[in-house]
Amino acid sequence: MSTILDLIGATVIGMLLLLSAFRYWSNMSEEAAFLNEERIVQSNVTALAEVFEHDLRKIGYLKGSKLDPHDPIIRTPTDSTHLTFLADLNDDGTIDTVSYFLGPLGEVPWSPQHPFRVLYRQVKSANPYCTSQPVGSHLGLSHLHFGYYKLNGDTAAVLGDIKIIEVTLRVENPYAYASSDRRAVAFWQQKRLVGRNLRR
Amino acid sequence: MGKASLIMIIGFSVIFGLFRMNFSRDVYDASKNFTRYFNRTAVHHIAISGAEIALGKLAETNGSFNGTTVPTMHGAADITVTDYVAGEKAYKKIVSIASYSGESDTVTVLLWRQPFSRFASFLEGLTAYYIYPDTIDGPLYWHNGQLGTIGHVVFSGYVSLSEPPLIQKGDPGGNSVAEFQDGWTVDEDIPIPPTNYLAVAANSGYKVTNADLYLKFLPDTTVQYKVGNGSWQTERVTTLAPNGVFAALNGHDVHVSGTAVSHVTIFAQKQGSSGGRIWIDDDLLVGPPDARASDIKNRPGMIGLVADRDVIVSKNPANNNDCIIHAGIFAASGTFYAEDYARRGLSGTLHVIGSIVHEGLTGVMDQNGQLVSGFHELLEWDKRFGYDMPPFYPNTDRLGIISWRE
Repeated sequence: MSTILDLIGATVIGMLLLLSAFRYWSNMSEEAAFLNEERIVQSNVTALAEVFEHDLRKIGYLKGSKLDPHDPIIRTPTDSTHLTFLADLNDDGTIDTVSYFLGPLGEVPWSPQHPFRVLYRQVKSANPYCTSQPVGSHLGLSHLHFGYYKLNGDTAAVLGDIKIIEVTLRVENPYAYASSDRRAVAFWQQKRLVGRNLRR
Repeated sequence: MGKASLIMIIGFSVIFGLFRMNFSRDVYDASKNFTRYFNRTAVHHIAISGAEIALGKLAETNGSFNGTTVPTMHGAADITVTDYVAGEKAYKKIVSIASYSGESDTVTVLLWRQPFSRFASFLEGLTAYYIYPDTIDGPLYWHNGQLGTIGHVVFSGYVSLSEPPLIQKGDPGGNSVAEFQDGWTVDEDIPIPPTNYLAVAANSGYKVTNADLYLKFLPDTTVQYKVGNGSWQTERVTTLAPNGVFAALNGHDVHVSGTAVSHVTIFAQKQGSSGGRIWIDDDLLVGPPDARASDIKNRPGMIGLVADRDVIVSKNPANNNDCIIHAGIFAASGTFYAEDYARRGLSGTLHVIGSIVHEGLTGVMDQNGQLVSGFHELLEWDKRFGYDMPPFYPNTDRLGIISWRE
């Protein structure tokens, strides 16, 4: 009788141990996956940040000369998700027209809480080796905002007054883990880039 | 039982160890990503610092700084400054190459010796007020006198002052103040340079030394000209003055009008108290008479008027009903004014698209602010002067940034 009780007790304890182990295993797997997602979105946000920094720092630049200040160097109206500007991106003495804009909702899977959009970058260049087609990237961008400011920090309402551009973006992992809606999120928030070729 | 426990413990240890390795790798990769971004940002700021240091050194040494290596922020910026000349424009190029923690970045700045046409208006020795709704288009130089503002006066360009402005509240609403959209700075005076070099440049242009010179530019690339009481002749501008300089030397004046389609500079040299004046006898244009500044941006013509003494809007029938001038005006020791402005009667609008060094009087108002004689004046800065200039136009002693690549 005592042997049977021992066996039952051992089985229960063993099952409890196994249950705990499985639970632990599951938690560990989720954490591992989440950490990996965080690593990916952080990598994505820095990649996007570096692309924005590379291009926006060149607003108004023209090799060996100056862009005609009669023409607004920033071409879009003060649109919070669409930016078009002039710059000699590849330092060849010709003016490129650079645009950033978002694709429509539905181009990639989305939800109201996670409105993922494709970010397009378009460079219209006189250089025949550059494509003028928009190039899209789906790096999990769920929020993009351009802010336009005068040199004194006031909001610029007129294109010619824009000297500073503020970029805010949020990148999320498109895939939530298992049944929870937990996603890795990274921000590049309110980064202000001064166009040195826009000054004076 | 003991062996089973041992195997179980080792098994769990291996499994946890693998998890830990994965965690560590993710954390390490995330921090590596962050560190790499930090390093690239830091090296970029070091390169910018190098360029800014070079700009400061060039200002301190009046342009004689050649470069150095500056250790900063645990990195270093290797700065080089080189000179080169294209045509009559003198350039300096700053290259700042930064290194930091295995990363490198470069900032390149191109500077030029700025011409006086860089200012929409260059004023000395004047204390006066702008009053709402005045708008001052383009950069302004106001030294040896105090600039005052009442109400919401708008300065769209950079303002250089010798003392802080006197800003008073006013219209609209009684509580508005001036808006300096590109800021203002108190800085050193810019001396007016000698113009003798233009007499030398005229050796490769067209010059007269014994009488006044009369010029009428035509939009078909030619110019009608006569010397003193001689007869009018016609020649292509580039044939008569290959470098674009027309000059009356040894104390003579120039009379000018017409429409220019190339870059030209007209120079009048004084001798003692005679000559050295440029008379504008009729509209002097590079674009249509009704053009605004933005309409002449693609025009091939650009005109510089450089007088040792004054630049004068002539009192004649052609100028009695509006006068339009598209030119950079440089009155070295005198002013730009309208002839007999107090007694010529109402003469319409004097519309200048260009730049004025030493603006003088062009009209007289009564105590109610109504014009009683002379011109209403409208000055627009020709923004092309921010990066281009008429041939051999006088330069300031300041270096200005043409382009900044980072």
